[in-house]
Amino acid sequence: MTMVIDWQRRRAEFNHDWLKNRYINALMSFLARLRTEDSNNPQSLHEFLEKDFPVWQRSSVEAWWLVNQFEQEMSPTRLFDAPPLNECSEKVKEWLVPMVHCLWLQRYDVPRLVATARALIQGIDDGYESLSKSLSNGGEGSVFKLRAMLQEWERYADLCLELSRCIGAFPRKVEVA
Amino acid sequence: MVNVRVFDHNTKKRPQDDPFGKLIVELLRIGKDLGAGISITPITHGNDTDAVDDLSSHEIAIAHIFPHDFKVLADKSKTGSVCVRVSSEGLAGKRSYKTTNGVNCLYLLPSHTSLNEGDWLPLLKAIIDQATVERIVNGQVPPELRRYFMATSGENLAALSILCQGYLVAFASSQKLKEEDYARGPIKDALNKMGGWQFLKDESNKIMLQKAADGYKDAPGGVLHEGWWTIFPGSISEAVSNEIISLGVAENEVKRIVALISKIQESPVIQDPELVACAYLELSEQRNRLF
Amino acid sequence: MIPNLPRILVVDDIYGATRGDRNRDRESFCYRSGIADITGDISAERLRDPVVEGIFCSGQVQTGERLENDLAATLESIRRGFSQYPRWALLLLDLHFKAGRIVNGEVEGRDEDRDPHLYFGLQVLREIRKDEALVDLPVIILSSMDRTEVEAVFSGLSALDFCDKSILDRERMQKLLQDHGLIEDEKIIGHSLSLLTRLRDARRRARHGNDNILIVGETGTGKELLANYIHRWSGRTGEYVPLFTQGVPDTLIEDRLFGHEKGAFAGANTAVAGPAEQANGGTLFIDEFGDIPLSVQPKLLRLLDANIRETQRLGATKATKLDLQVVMATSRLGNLRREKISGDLLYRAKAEIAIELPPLRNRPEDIPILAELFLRRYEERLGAEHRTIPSETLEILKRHDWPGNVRDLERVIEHAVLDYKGIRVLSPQHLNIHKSTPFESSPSEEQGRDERIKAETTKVASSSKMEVLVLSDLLRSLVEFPYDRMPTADLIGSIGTARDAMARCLAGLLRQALVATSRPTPEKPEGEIYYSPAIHLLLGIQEQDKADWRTPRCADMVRYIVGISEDLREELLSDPVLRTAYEAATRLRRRK
Repeated sequence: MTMVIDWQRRRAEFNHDWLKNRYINALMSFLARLRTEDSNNPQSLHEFLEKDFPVWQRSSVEAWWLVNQFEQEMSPTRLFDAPPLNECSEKVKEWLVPMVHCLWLQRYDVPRLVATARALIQGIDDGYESLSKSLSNGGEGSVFKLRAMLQEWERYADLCLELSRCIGAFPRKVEVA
Repeated sequence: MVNVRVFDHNTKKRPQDDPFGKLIVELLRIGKDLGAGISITPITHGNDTDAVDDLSSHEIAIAHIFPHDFKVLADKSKTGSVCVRVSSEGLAGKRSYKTTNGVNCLYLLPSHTSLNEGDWLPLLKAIIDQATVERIVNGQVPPELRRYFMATSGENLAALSILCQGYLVAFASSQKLKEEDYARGPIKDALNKMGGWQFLKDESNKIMLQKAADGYKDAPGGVLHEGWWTIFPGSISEAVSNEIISLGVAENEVKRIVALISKIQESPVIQDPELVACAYLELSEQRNRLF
Repeated sequence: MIPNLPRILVVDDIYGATRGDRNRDRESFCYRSGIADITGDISAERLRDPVVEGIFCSGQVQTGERLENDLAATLESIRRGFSQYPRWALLLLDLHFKAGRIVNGEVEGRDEDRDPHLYFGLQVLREIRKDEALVDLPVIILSSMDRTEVEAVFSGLSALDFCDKSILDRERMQKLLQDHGLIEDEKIIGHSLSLLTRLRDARRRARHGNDNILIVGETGTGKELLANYIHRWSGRTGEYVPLFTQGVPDTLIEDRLFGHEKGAFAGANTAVAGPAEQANGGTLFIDEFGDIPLSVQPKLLRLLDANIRETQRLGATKATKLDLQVVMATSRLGNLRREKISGDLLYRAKAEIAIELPPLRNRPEDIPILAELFLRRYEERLGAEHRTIPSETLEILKRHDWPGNVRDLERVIEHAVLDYKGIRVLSPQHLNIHKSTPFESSPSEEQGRDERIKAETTKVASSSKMEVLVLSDLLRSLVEFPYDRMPTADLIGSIGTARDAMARCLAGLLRQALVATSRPTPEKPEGEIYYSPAIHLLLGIQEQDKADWRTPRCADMVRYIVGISEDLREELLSDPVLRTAYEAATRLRRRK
């Protein structure tokens, strides 16, 4: 099917337009700066903390919507809303619609995909909270203190990359086997 | 008087010497044959950006230009106008549509260099007729134009695939089939492809499968009966073959699947589940290629 | 003269955009990838240790409240940067470009832009592949899209690699440059495409680390320099050890190559390790490997066999296993194939994938910087005045044949400085090279011919010297082309193209011959077309042989030439001269 569904559009905007092109880009640059022994531009580090890092808070909402709504939005059962499948009798739809859905869940391992994505988003949420706490406890002001948190930052970045890969692995369109 | 503006970004100074510029020469000639009421004027110079501005001020524009320029053309054109995009590589799989500001965007499926006067005459007549254009952008392409404009996004193929899957699951559950019992190639292959065996074994699907098995019985409206396929208006094999052809697949590739479907529909009772399995596998392959 | 860093072009809607005086996304991208942003459209951070210089292009244009993809301007930027020096070492090309209305400073985007078949980046790539001037431009897809979604689409368009935007860092950028970039070198001077593509080939072979590599090139093209270049890029920690076999007596070559043990022969007072052993862990270079005598070749074969790689000194009882990269060179591969050189040796040397260094005459655009380099070198060495090279002198240098290639050029410049230490402008008179160039033709030697034919031939030759000479060079190239080394992919559809080329060539020659042999008549003062004399001229038929080439046979030849390519026939017959001859030939055959 070549129609563009809201979920497809929002996934592209979240994963491609924002997460990879902007957030991970800024995060990787931040990490690269932290790793160099003498950062000649601490202002860039602080700019990341002020302008880029906090964007996860509102984007998290979108991430949760994508993963929680995936089954409903992208199931092939939506084909029964339009011709010709909407012509099926109610008696047939009673079993055929859930059958199509279950086969799809199985074939594309949807429960595992969704569970993995949920765990990653939760991991990023937790990581965000923990880093925010450390920053508000005086970590923000000092490059030295930021470097001390390097491992935590790297873990956070790894989770973001993993989430991007995971969301990228979700079926791209409404799939009928 | 209907004004049709034509632009071909490959036109050189002497369009009759340029295989792409021949589009303009053809249309000019045909326009004369259609007589009064239609005026076809070509843009023979300038770059794509200038041409888009010019084209967008006309009721009907036929353009051989890049996709992104065609989008700009659609954005700039007035409500109700018609923009037709042609390509030397054809535009298989591209569905005509109406934009949110009411501009009708038509994509010509076959390569325009493969068309001759016999094609352009009915095409031009269609393009200048509002009612026909309306049908095209709504996916209700008249049969005689289905070679030129896409009528579907593959809904019939998807539906047929689902019905085949439903049939096979209903068959398997009514027979209480086990994987090891039923070693016949196509049915096993089809159920594997669907992810069916695990589904059939799953206890949580018991009630659903019972309903499917009941539906399998020899009764009108049941899976086993020819009525299973009646969601398609008209002939199912015609619906499927038209759809595949309009998606750009060669006619001879369609023959096998149409033959299978026709065989399935031969008798009131669908005798051979293997036929359905073969049809499903063939459909699956075709859909993978197209989508 | 030689840039410190390679220069790349990045075409990306987000990183190439100019929004105010900063683009923070671009800054982040540059920092982590080691790119020094020299675009100049916004203030850019100075990187401490960049890997590459980068110019950014968004591929889009804003008109009012809309942002649209601009194919023409994007291609223009690409073409411009690839035709001037320093040229793009790489093009990093995004796939999906978001266009449409700008709302609250952000581009809305359109659903159609997300169709992989319609990605703007792929449109750009398609146009690049259609442009002959850009055929060598290395293009890397840089995308945040899932690779599997677009693999089939971009692979067919000869993109060299796919790079996920989110994981591009300095190390990956360096690897991309090493594997695919057209990078200049500080020791092998030049910026011509033919040289830079060879350097890239050399780097790709070098990364295997323990391969056998054959370099082919005329004398003076820099084969040894390239061997050293391969060693530098191989990452091998051992030494680079050259071995020159020219002039060494056959009886001594084995010793020179493999060394000897003490007492191995009279005068062998100490053990000596051969260059092969010395190069253990590094690179052995053997110049003119074809000069190695037959008697030594079996031992050389064992050295070249990657599974064996062993050497044995003269007088030794045991062989020694080595870890080596072996680079060999020859200036006469064609001769080697004909001589009694072991087929095994050519196979182990991987002659079929040899790296060919272009002769200097085939890369004239490198002559100015080479001349400049040699001038400065010898001016300093000889304490001579600094001099400039006017364009007139450069033209002469560029047009010379340079049989000795770069070495030859260096010698000429050296003598020019030595002989004229006090001058400040290097004029043609200061150059000790043969003044006649390959493009001067000798007067026509057609003595016994009709004056009009002679005049036509000379007119053609003098008015289009380049065309006449290019044709003969072209035909020679076709004969000498290494067909046995063609990749299979190049064979696809090749017959059709070759047939059309042949049709055009023969039709062009026929037409010229028809004009040259036409005779003015009262009815046709511009000249009546006669095809038989034209065919005689083309075939070089002498008077005594004309009986075998009467009119019907000539008519058949005309019809054959015009009919070689069915696709081109109509086009060829649109020419009035050819049409006249063809119609006359057809009428004759019909009567028969």
